[in-house]
Amino acid sequence: MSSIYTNGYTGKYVIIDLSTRKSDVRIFDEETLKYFVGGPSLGARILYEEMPALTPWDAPESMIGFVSGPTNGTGPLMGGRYTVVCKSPVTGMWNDANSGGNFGPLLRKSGYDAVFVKGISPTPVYIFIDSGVVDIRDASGLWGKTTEQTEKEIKEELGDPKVGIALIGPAGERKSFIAAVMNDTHRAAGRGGSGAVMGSKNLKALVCRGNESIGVFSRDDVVALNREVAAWEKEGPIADTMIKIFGDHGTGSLYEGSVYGGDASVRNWGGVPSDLTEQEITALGTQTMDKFYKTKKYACNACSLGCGAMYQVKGGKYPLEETGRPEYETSGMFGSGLGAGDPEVVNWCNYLSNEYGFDTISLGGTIAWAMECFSNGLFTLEDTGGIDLKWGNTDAIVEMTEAICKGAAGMGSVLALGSRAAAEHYDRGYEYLTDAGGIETPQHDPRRAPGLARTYQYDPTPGRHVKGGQGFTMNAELPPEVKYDFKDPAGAERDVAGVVETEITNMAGFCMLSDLGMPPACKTRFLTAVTGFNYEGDEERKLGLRSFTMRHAFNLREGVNRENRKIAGRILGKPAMTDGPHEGITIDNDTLADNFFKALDWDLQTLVPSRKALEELGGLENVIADLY
Amino acid sequence: MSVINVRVKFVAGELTPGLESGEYSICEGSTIRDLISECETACGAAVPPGNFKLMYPLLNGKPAQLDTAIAKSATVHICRVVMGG
Repeated sequence: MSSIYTNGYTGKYVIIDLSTRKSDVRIFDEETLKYFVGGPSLGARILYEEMPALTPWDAPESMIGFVSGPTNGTGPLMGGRYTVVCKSPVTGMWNDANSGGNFGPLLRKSGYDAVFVKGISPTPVYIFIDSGVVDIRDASGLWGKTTEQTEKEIKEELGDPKVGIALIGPAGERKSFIAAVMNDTHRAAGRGGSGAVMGSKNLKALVCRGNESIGVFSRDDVVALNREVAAWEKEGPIADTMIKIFGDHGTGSLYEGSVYGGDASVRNWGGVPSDLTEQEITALGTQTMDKFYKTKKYACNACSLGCGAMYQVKGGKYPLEETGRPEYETSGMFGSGLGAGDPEVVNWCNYLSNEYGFDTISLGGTIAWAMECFSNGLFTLEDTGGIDLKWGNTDAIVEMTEAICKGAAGMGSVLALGSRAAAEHYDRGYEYLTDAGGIETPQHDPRRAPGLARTYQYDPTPGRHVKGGQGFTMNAELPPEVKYDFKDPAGAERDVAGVVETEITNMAGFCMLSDLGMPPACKTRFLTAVTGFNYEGDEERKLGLRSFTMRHAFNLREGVNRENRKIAGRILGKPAMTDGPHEGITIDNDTLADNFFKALDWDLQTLVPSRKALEELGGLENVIADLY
Repeated sequence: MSVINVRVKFVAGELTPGLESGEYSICEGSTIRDLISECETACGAAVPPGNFKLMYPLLNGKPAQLDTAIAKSATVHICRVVMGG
């Protein structure tokens, strides 16, 4: 056995086969950790090796992984996120989605940096890892139960309220393509349908407990960097503005400006802010909602920003004793995106989505698609089961959300598969899809930040705002003559730089808000302090692009190429809007993508990286062997 | 030079502390930056200079610049360059 690398790692991972009920504990070699670090990057590396190409997502050979990052539980501020990896049921491609809360650090305390699951259990089970020991337990009594109830019962069964639990709700059990993996009651690794992969394996939950202590390369350096972050958050140039507002009111604080400014969708990306009343727009900003509903703040593990809060909704049509504050994405999907602005409805739909284990982005986006179809006569009241899906009808929004969550017969069960699958089921409404690669797009409009179009269409996980490129944070400050100059070669360099930064954020286990919440150039220094690996100079760029390429390599094996990477025309301004903040704007995403792929030295049609590019990145010998 | 009335909504309150949304009178030909200056005077507040680069102004619902001139009966929104979350 080789020696275990323990600076920033347990150095171990386990592959659990639910068909044979056997576990295979393995040791990470040092080079793999140095090259792939953690999260989606390390997860892609393992699935590329262990999961055969073209495996159907629900086959026994299909794998799902829960992968930590080296910042999880080792001290760096804002380093609490773990990643779920699998093949996506909705896109048919690589999938990774990350989540905060406390599960990532608790996973590592149980003795493993990552847990991978394959096989299919004949009956519902949950996996309990207690200080490295894997126990596959009966979950028949938990099947059908909501996420909060399941968490409660598992904790009671184990007699331990502090175990870490990643689980699915009824959505995942029903193999909904838009089912999330949930943790800490209302935190979600939401996107891409990873909950359905768990459900296909009859796996209700992964539960972790332990006291493994993870060493770091230099505790002094971690502490010093944390002091830099604390000073930045207290006294830095955006301390009194962006950091304060996220800390006070969370991501939803940006809702109102995002609607007016054209970042949030209105009516399935086809409307304009003036389709909503000022009152509807203001009502969903958390500066307003906090006044009525906020009971307390909370933060994910090791987070100094603390963008979370709990709400209580007293009285009204949809009272809630305790629920997580809706994130910006959720308010957009169940608010402006549906032509509505009722905070009680948003809170209720957010609560239902979390309880049943749905991705709020895909669920809201799917209802938006159905509403537009209904508004244009493609669906009748008979089709919808009597639900009057006209824009802004808040009763209808709740009724349809409940129908989807509860698996009601008829349209509810069809919409639970997502908008693309629903369009194919009914064979209509394709013109109203606003997806990228089959998945609903989030609440950031490329027509405002055109770099997002390249990211949405061509990231290995399409339709994501948390993936890299010259997207909203980098493009926001650019003048129009720069950000709409699609031929500008400098745009490709911004694109590559954005990819590198975001890949490192995600593999390390940092939150995306660290882009604002910590000084520039902190992340690789944190990685070095924790792991001892040096990522200075060109190594940083290689690290980010290696991760991006590894995730992409998984897709190449699945037959992905330029031709079959699709995005809805509306997202690109085809046709251009005739009013509102995006009037007259059309994005030339072909040129944006051409420039990006040229910068990476990828073939423009096959999207196969050149051998030279792969060799320069290092650590991709298995990919080279497959491609050349 | 004639005076015009314009309506301004400060959506990003943390960038414009002390400024109140509402209708203001400004000279014809004034820019959005001039409007903010007028609001500062009227409200007895001062926007920190570093905050201007974080602003994303809209004029009648369309993206604008701080030096964009305002016509009468206009509506101005002062949003943040960073949106979403």
